[in-house]
Amino acid sequence: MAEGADRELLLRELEERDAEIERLRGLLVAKDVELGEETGRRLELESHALRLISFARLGKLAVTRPGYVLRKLRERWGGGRG
Amino acid sequence: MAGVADAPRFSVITPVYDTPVDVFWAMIGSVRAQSFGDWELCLMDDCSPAPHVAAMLDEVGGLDPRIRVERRTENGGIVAASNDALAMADGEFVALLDHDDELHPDALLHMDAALREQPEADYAYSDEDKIDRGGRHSGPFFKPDWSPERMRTQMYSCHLSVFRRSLVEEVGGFDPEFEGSQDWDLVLKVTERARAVVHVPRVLYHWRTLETSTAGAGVAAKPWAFEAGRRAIEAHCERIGMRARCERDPDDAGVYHLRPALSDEPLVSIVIPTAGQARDVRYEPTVLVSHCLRSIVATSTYENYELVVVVDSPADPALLEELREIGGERLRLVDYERPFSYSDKINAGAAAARGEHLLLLNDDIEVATPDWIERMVMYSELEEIGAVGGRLVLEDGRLQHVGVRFQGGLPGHPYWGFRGNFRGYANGVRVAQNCLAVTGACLMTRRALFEDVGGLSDDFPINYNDVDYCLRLQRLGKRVVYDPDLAMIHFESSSRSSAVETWEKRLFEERWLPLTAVDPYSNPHLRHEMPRISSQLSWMRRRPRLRRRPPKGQPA
Repeated sequence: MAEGADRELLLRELEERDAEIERLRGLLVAKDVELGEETGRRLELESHALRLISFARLGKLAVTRPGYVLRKLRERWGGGRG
Repeated sequence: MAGVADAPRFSVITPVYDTPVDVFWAMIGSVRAQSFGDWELCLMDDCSPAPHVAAMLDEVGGLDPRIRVERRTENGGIVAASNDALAMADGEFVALLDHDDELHPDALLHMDAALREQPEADYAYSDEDKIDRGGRHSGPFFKPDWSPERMRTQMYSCHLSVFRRSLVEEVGGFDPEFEGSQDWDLVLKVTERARAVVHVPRVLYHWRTLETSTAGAGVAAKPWAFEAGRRAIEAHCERIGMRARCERDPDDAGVYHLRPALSDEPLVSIVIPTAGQARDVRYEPTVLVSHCLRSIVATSTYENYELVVVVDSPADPALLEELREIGGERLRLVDYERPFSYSDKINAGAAAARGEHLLLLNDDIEVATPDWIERMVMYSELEEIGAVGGRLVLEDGRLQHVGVRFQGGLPGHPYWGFRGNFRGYANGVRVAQNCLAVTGACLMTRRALFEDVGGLSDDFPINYNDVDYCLRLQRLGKRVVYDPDLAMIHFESSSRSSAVETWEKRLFEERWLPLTAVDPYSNPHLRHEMPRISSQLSWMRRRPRLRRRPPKGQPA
């Protein structure tokens, strides 16, 4: 009788632990998604930052070597807009 | 009316209705400033109640013999006025210009050059930007080359559109059933019959952002137009035999989604090569192929499919038993005894498959869209489609694959690692569209086509075999489709660096350059699917200086 009760108690504890592990696993997965969101946003910002750096470099070149920049732009786009 | 011999190259057709004075003259000025002279402008007043319109039209008619003005006796709406303007046209091509927009001074010149270069072209379109009432430009839209699949989920060609007039007349002109999206309907109808379509990657049209225009006020300006767009797409699908319904996007009025409406289900063979690897998935040790199969069986709503699993031999008997348990009667196991080659494994699976369509699937995929197979069949069964792929996201929800793009001749994944809800340039992630290739991690193709091109090339045993396959399909004139509504989770290692070997890159370039040097589904103004800085500069640098004030004596 006592042995049966112990077994039931152990099984219940096991179930509770499993449920707790499941809950924690769920939390970890949710955290991963949250971190993923942040990482994704960071990558997007990095992409924008790289474009801005290119813009700044081009701006500097336009001041120091305007002829070169204009020639390059004409070469690339045939002088046409768009 | 001019005879055929003196017919102009272009008839610019413009329905007029209560046009504000300043933007009307800006529009007229932009046409008169064209560097290409062989045009006529057909203005059709749709019985404007505002008194200044009649005076403007009287004046403009005397300014230039190439400007022709006619008036409707009663207001008929945009479709009736456009059709009447179309009836005035004598040109070989008709160009659509709204009464409050402007053309770039070289718009017709570039169109003429592009149409001469491709004499079979029946439809041409250019890039566009927006312009406010003060003449300030913004929001350039750098478009891809002709992408029929994109056209079914986004009216992306829009302005400037130039049609061969004979074909417009053949399809019956503008259809009143699609009032508000009559231009989209016309593009769909014309391109169903067009011999060729040309894209001019230059901003040749400036779309005015007025509070009354779609460019300015969005859906609020013309709510009915977006519903008409949905109906136009469904009518188009019916005409071309595509078994699909169309739905509007709940968040973005300019985005549409196709939903499969199959009446029968051809057999699909899902070919999954595996070595039976295990890794942690959501913090649980998982045998990838078992997980993949479970997700297919539990999630798919499609009934008629078989699972062809190509397993390295000798395989773990417990794994085989588990696969049999999950796959049941659908499962076909293929032993693979040769040294590893992804291409060869897929080819071995395809040889054992019985389905009409092959669905190549990596074993580290989890299905996240119940009607994923239906979606792929919806496209794959179209004769002109070669392969279909979907939107793959990493385990943490970030984007992994949204169609392959080429940069410098080599393939890559645009927006890799960006947030899962990232829309992409011009909604590029959220609309269906054509690409040169999609990833073989999840790719459907017709078995007959697969056999015709000889399956995956063993020259690329690990990388690029999928891209190489798609490019061989392109060479046969088949299109490759990316469907954003087909979402899958790809348990690819998030930190994995590109493992492509130099010899693979060289071989790929040797085989596919110059075809992949310029990706037609991107735009020369984009780099990694974002506008280039130099494009922004050149776009800003040369704004046309047009007259924005009315002539003397004309009220402002």
